[in-house]
Amino acid sequence: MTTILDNLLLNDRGIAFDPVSGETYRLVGPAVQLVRLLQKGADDAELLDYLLEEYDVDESTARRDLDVFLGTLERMKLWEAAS
Amino acid sequence: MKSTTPCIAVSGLHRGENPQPGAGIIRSLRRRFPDAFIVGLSYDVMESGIYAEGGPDEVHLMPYPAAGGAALLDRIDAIRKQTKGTPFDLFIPTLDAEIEVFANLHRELSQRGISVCLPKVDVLKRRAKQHLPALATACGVRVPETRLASDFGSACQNGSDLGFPLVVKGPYYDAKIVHNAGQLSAAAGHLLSEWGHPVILQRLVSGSEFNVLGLGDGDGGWLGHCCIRKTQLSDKGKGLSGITVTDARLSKLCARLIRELKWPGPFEIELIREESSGDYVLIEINPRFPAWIDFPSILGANFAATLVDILRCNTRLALVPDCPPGSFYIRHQIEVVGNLNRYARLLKDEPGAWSGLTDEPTSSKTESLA
Repeated sequence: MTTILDNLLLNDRGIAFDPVSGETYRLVGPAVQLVRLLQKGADDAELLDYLLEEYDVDESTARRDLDVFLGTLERMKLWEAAS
Repeated sequence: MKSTTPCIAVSGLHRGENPQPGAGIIRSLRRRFPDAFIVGLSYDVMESGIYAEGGPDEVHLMPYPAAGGAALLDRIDAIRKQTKGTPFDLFIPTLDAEIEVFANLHRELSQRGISVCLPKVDVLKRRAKQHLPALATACGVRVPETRLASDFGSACQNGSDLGFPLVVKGPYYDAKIVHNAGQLSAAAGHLLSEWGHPVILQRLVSGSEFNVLGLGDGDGGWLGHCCIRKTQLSDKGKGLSGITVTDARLSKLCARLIRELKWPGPFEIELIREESSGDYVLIEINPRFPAWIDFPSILGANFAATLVDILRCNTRLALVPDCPPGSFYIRHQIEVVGNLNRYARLLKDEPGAWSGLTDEPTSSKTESLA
């Protein structure tokens, strides 16, 4: 299923733009790369691997932060978890 | 196709708090036709675009549209006789009230050799605020629940029936959001005295505002369109900034309206995307370009220049290119400098005052305005 996130235009400075709604979003920290990975179809495990490889963080913290991030995307109706 | 330097009359030159389209149209025209001779038709000597750099080559005052078609035509005849350049033969009216009058004067303007691109009166009427629900139904488009009131009492009654908050509008201009019966009676009274009836009452739709400008071909298609979401609004609801968007659903909806009307020439469609449903709800169709007309022109989509191509009967009309999504404009106000000599000459209708693009400085206290 196509979500809004799939169509977001993203630049390297962390600005994402929805060309349909005209909404802009500011992504900070790992969010830019996480969105890029989601747009490429990355699953939950791949997102977690990215956080563990790139950041000095233990798995439970990374898991918690990832859940918060994905929950935010869902709440903003930008993305839906695969059911 | 006419091959000489275009001589174009443009109205609506003010760019203050509630900007009119004319000054933006002139900027767009200068991009494609730097040699064009542009005649400004103003209703007030304080229209800021009169004094803007790159503005009209010549300016004349017009009687208000309420004076009627005969008065406007008489004035146009007089202006064309006294012009410093070649009398204008292309005319881009930009104000709703004058468009209502000039749409009745196709034959008279044509007899004078003046080209305009305006809808016929019946088409113009179909997109009027009070007739919009019927048009929307024919096109399968949503409009806010709407009631019309011809007097103060029925405005208050209809408002109570619809429930608050409401948007109260005059037939041509002005709209106010009201939250209770007291605010409604004050707004309805003001609009009825200012603009006459009907007063239009609409249930308030919450969501982002979208505007679509374009150029209809008169056969049901268009030569191009540009969609924006308004990103900042003034206290009066005017767009202070906007960003280009590309939404096939929005474009198809607008295309259905233009096809149904077989709309010729400039238009601006105003919609709200309802927050709760995601539906686009039609608010207004304006029979002219909006004040932000020069924004797509800067992006390479010069609608005003293509309108001139139409007026000049160019048989090789090129489609206006699409604007890529993600470009935004911000309204940026600056001061323009006027000169009392120029002001006085405009009042006295001396077109010779408009030979330069800038005002000569007032050099002496003894300089007379007479």
